Amino acid sequence: MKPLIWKELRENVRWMPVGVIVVSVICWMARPNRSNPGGLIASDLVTQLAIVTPLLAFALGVVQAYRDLQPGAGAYLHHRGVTGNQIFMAKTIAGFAIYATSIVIPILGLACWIAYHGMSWYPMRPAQVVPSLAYALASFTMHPAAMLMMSRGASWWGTRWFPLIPAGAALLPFFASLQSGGLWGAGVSLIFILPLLAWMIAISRQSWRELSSEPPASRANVKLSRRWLLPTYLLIGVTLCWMTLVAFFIETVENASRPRVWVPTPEVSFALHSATHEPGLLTYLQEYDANAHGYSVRALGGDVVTQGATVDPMRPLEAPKQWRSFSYMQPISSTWYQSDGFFTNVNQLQGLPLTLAYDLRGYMICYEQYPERRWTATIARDAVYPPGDFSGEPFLSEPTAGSNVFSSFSSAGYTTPLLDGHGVYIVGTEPLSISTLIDQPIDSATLVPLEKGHAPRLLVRHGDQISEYQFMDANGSDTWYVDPNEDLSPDAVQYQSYSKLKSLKDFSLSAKVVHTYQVPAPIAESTVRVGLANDALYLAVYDQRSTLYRVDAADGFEKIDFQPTTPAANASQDGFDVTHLLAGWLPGFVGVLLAGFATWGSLFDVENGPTWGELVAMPIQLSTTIISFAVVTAFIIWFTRRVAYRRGLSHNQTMCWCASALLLGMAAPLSMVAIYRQVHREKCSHCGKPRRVDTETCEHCDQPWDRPLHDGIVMLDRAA
Amino acid sequence: MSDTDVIRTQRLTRYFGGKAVVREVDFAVPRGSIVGLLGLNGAGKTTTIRMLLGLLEPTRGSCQVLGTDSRELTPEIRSRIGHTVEGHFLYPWMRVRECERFGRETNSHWDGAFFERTVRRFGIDSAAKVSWLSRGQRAGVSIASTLAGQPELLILDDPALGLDPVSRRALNESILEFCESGERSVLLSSHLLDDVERVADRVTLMVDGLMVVNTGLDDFRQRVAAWTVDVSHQPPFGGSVRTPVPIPRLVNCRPLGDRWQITVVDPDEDTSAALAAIDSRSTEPVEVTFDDAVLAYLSRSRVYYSFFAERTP
Amino acid sequence: MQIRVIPGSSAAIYRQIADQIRRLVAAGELAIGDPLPSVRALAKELVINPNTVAKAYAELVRDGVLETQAGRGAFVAKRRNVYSKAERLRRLDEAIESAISVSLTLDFTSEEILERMRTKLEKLDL
Repeated sequence: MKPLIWKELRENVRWMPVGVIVVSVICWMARPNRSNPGGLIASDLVTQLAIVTPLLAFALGVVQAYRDLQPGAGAYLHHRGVTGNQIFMAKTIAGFAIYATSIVIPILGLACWIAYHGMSWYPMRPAQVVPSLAYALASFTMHPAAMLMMSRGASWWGTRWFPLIPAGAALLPFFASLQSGGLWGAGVSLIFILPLLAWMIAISRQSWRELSSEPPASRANVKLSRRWLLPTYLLIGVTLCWMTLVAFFIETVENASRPRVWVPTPEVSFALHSATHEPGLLTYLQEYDANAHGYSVRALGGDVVTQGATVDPMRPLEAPKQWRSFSYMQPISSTWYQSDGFFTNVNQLQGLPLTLAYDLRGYMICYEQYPERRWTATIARDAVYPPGDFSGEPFLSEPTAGSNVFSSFSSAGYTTPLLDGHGVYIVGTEPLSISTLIDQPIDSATLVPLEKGHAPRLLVRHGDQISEYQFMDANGSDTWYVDPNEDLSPDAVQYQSYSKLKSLKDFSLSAKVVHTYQVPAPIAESTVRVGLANDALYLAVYDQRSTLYRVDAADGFEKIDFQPTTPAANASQDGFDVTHLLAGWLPGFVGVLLAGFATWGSLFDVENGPTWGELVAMPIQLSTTIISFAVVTAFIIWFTRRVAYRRGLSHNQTMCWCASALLLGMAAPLSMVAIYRQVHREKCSHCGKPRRVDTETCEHCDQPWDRPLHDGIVMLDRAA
Repeated sequence: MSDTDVIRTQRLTRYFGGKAVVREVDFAVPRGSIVGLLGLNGAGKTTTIRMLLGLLEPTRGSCQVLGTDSRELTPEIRSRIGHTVEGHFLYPWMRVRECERFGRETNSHWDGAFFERTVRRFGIDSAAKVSWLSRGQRAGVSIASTLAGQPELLILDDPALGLDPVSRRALNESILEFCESGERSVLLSSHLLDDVERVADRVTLMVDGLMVVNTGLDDFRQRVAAWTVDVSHQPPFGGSVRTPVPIPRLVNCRPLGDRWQITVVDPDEDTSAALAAIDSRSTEPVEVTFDDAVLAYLSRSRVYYSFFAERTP
Repeated sequence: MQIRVIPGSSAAIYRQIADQIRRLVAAGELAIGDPLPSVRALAKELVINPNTVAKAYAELVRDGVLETQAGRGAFVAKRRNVYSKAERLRRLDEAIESAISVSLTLDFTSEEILERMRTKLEKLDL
């Protein structure tokens, strides 16, 4: 084993500089600089490595396998006191050593560089390279996959490259999970990467040991149950490949047949009348306005909702501008999904001349851009600290969530407060300061506009309590708030833009709880949309269009049930289309799953799920799919039988594959092509039928092969 | 399987795609013999050797080497079989002494002194890199590292291909020295008939995937006889001679100037009668050299149709 | 003693060896009782298969040219005629015929050839 590893290392070490250079270039490109100012190390690095490392591993696998599979070199290496197993493992170990070295060296260099610069220059920490290393480890699956591809004797134009597909597909989830970075994600990925690697190596090893001597079909095509690793793998690969192909065709056809013009669809939602404080159900249409280069929302119609009434959301309205649609209570949660492990995306808070990055430890890290980029301050919940000081009280979640909740502040020309899971804060500049405006736990929050001239109210939910806050200036009034947009004519869609935002700090604001509402027990678990009347709160839950809750500030709630008239079916029209014709090519198990879901949906009345009723409501599409599937399946079974004959499979094997073809569709015969070796036939000299060349006796007449004819010139002494 | 055979095949057959490259080969190599394996390129020699070594599985039939089915060779048995690859493959980046080390570490019985001796016989510096060596020297390293493993059976695939006379002599010396004890056996595939005649005591001949000769070298020479006939008519294009009576056990008939040389196995009265029936100005027996006999067999597949019997009505 | 083998000639290698030893014995270069190289040594010297040498020795022993002594190797044996009179004559004719045909092609007269042959025979001093 040792000399074999040494041989592999010595032979392939010359590829290491290539890997080192390529990965170094990537590290160089991923580092944040002027042309890549938003460069987050982890996500940029993983994205770029995602392309290169599988290619590196693949190329190394091909190079390592290629030479020793050539007849001469293969005989030289294999014909000594070593097993094929040892040779394979030596290749894998040496390949991994070379691969790992060529990736680890530049990435560790990057980590050192990061450690040297520290966070004083950019929000980055050396550990940000960990997700990239985890991804590079996952990419090594392409190495055994390449060796597997090389050791199979199949045709390059046929099934030879099939082994690459599952290995490549397995990388996608790792890419998705590691791109957002984080040590946690890297750790979880590792738990899956290691078994994946072990699985790939086991498959490739089996193939290397068994297939490189090109066994005849009579030995290779039987007893798959004893060596199921490779067949299973090929089956997965082929099925993936086939489904992707069909999906691609369907997608292409859909794209080609889809209208090029965007047709807006009306949306039904709740709204509150600003004068009468009556709830209503309105139909809105979002349209593109070419003059204003923006989207505008227009109410098409609606009606007041009262208990037990029938409400027509399309009834013409007299003054649509009087209605304000319900606000969505935005959940305040951690923002790991847009982070690269330790920092969220670098952004600028409106009104602050600083670049901010949220460190997931709970601090806002502030960078000054000019004249040189440097870390100027650390904002904690309680105060502003100097750079490098993490002794303050951390935020519970990313506080820039405030800019989403308070977006109407910024459109009215005010700076937006910060908001985390434990309060609302106002940041002041010159000097940089932070003060707490509201100190209470927050699950979700929204800003609700009041009548003109008054500051909007903040609704904060914690558990099943919703508190209504009023923002008051030093005089105790909320009339400090001026929204220039309110004076615009109702049809205008332009918004004011501001050269400088008015700092909230200057108003010495305070917040006061005006009312507290109890979320009704039936919807205590749901996220809600709210409409604020004077002393009452209307709550609506997404997708419940016939129920509304009215909660009084005093106590108690009222459940308002009503009957919205169903709008004209805007579901897609039933009719013949190519998509459903193509859907017949999908494997049968997709249909089985769909039928299962439909049954489940019909029995248990699941939201959003398909039901038999919906399926049967479109008889043409359903029957197109079923007929197409039947025709395709008949063809596939014919094809399967043909492949089975060409592969010399037994009757039982043929029957099993035909049965599986019902579920797997075209993937079944294609897998057979990939799994089994082809059988060649010659005319039998006894019965005249074509007989397999790899069996001792004819399968038709049971006769052995004839000895070749000699005309007396054969000289064999003590012949066999 | 008798103990005296180191190689034995039963109806060994190998197809590549739909084409049979080796067909129904039954042969045996007795222990202690040096067997020359002769045949044209593509006659199936290398394929047979690859099957014997377990590097390629037979399509049907089987072969045993040192008493083990070659599909189930263990590393221990493999190390008792020596093999040189056609063209003497070696890792070009290795030095000669690294080749020795690699061989020593991957073979259980290693004779370093033999390696040194053989390498010296070929005049090779052991610090040299393989990629600097001449073809003959590379062959030397290859032979040395194969023989130093002290195998019981040596399977050489065309070791003399492209070698200079000195290296060829060194090669033959090495093979003979290796076999000195009489317990070791050699299967020597070669195109150099002189070397085979010198070194081998048995000869096997493969033509188009069939094994047509497997016998002692002298037996082979003795049983092949040849005549020249001077037929009156000029050989037409494509060359063929008509005989009134088919010649039994005819190996080959080839034009020799304006005469024809007819090669026959085991001549007897029927042969004489058939020859006498040919309308020939003179029919003379020819001394058959080893080369002639082999060439008659090997060129048979190429010019087989140049001679056919005219059926008497 | 000098023996050469030429592969690829019409005579088998073992026959070439046997013939050359016969000639050496006939020419007196090998005297009666002289030892011959062992099979293995000769095979090594000529780079040929030892079995071939052994076969040549065996033929010479059968023909009475050599004799083997167990464990000591082969020696030149006392001359004894193993051929019949007719056979000896046939072989003599064969040798003389080839010599004559070669000599005639070199444009010698029969007197010159006879003279030359006589001188050679006298030199051997039989």
